[in-house]
Amino acid sequence: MPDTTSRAFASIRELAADLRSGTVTSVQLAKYFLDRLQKHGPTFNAVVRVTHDIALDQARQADEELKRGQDRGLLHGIPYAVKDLLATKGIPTSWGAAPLKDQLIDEDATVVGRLRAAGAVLCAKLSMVELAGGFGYKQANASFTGPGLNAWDKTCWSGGSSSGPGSAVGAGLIPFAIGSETWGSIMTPSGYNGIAGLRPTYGRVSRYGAMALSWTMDKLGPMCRTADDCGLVLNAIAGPDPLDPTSISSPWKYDRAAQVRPNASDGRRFRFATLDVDFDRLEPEVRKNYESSLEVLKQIGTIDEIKLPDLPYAVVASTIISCEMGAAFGDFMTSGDVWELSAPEDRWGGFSNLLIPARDYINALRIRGRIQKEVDTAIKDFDAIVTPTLNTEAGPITQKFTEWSRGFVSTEISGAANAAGLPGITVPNGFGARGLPTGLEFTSRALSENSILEAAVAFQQRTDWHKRTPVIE
Amino acid sequence: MRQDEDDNCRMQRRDFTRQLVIGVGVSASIGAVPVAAGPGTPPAPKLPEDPAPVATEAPPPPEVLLLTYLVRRYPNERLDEVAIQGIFRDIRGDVARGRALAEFPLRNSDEPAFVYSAYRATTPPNS
Repeated sequence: MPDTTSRAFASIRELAADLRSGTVTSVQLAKYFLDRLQKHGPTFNAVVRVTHDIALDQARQADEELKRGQDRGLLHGIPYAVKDLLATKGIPTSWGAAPLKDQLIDEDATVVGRLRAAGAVLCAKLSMVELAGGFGYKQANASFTGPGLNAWDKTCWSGGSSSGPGSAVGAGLIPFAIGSETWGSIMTPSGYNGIAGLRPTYGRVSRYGAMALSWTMDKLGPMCRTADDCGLVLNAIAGPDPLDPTSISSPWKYDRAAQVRPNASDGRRFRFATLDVDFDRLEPEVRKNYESSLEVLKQIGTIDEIKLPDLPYAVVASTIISCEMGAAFGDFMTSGDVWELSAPEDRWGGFSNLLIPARDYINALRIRGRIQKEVDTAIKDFDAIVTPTLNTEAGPITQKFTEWSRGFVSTEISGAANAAGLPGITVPNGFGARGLPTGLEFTSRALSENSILEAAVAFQQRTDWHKRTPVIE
Repeated sequence: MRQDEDDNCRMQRRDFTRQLVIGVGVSASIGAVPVAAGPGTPPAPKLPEDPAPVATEAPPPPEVLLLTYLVRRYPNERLDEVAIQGIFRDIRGDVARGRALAEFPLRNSDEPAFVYSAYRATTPPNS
């Protein structure tokens, strides 16, 4: 058995190279990560189910195919996991909720099928905040698997709602995972755990087989060790799907060639924009890391400060989520199942959504149209808008979010981007006073995933924060 | 609003609380639990210390009516004080959010940002 210890935090490209050089097999990789998931996953409350037998079957097939020269691409033979809101044939899908923990949706989500087609090896279904956080949880203990614990400090939160993907990838229990974001659920756990997380353009990735919290705001995206890995995974899962009528009809390809662009000497430089950050809401170290990151970005591009149009981003996004969630989970609430949720505030937190007037919902959708157009105009000249991902390091699981999060974000880009369906990526950019990661977020126009990937890859080529790893005991 | 409709809306606070208690089986003290009210927001439902004549009672604010409707429409014995007060806070937020949406200047041509198209399962033979 080759030494696979150093592979816990390896990138997909590194693992793929090892597979093709014959220094390791997919079965060996699968066993290695299955072992880590089984041994360490419960200590982070990160795992709902380890899919041991499926993983070994898929890994054996990957080895056989690679051996006979059938190469499906860089994900072939690479272990991965999914947030437990994605349906998987023959495996229960809990949506993080105690009353649904044995729910069986006996088919594969489109994303799972596409990763299977790419040769990736499903090793686990990972924990999440119950029902993707749509019921208004106010503290970390909001899942039947317990509070998600941070890869860098188990007394702190892993973020939500993609809690398990955040800590599992952060702790090197799995090379990559699929998370979901309605508003912040990829960015937050990725930022708190020091990994790369990509929120695609709305519709870029089929939602078929994913729990619907908000049909017009839900997005699925990769959570990985590096920005480049995010590009590779998105390349495998993106594209039109007749099973999801909101999926974008044009295919998408990760622009690998573009990664070599960001040399100041090649005459083509990035154009970045910053926003009017409310620095009072940032922890001092978060601010310092953000300002240091901007210095790095100045090596590869220009930075202008812009203002987003004065529009009610948060009001629109929250109204849309509330109304769609009220419809999606109305029966769940009125049947009484909701009272079995883990967080006390989640048990009643959705009820008011049953009463919001249709006029409010429609008007929110009308304003959303204005948001899409005006934000696109405001940012169209830039490769990426750069902001701190979160205001603080992850806080203690014993406290309410209001006691430590400082409102989570310090600009309106999070609400604007999610209301308008814009892509974003977060990458680690340092550590806070307590030694937990901080993040830098790149946001761009709709359909511009390659722009933000290129920028994030360029940033990671000039920094080593993504190579720092936590001590896992 | 017609006068008779207006009269129907004039719910005494005591009646409101009584109906809440009957409807959801919570303790009689729920209406007296204080709710931190923000600027411009109505107070939480509360029993008056001395009953005032019906004619002088102001109509309950919409948030209270919505709460009343909610707990009567979806009664559940587990709706305790904490839940009722939490839902009331949520309703106040929703109403405030609705006001903010209504204040946003929209043109008649501002269409909702959702996509809808006609559908049929098979391609028409003449298309």
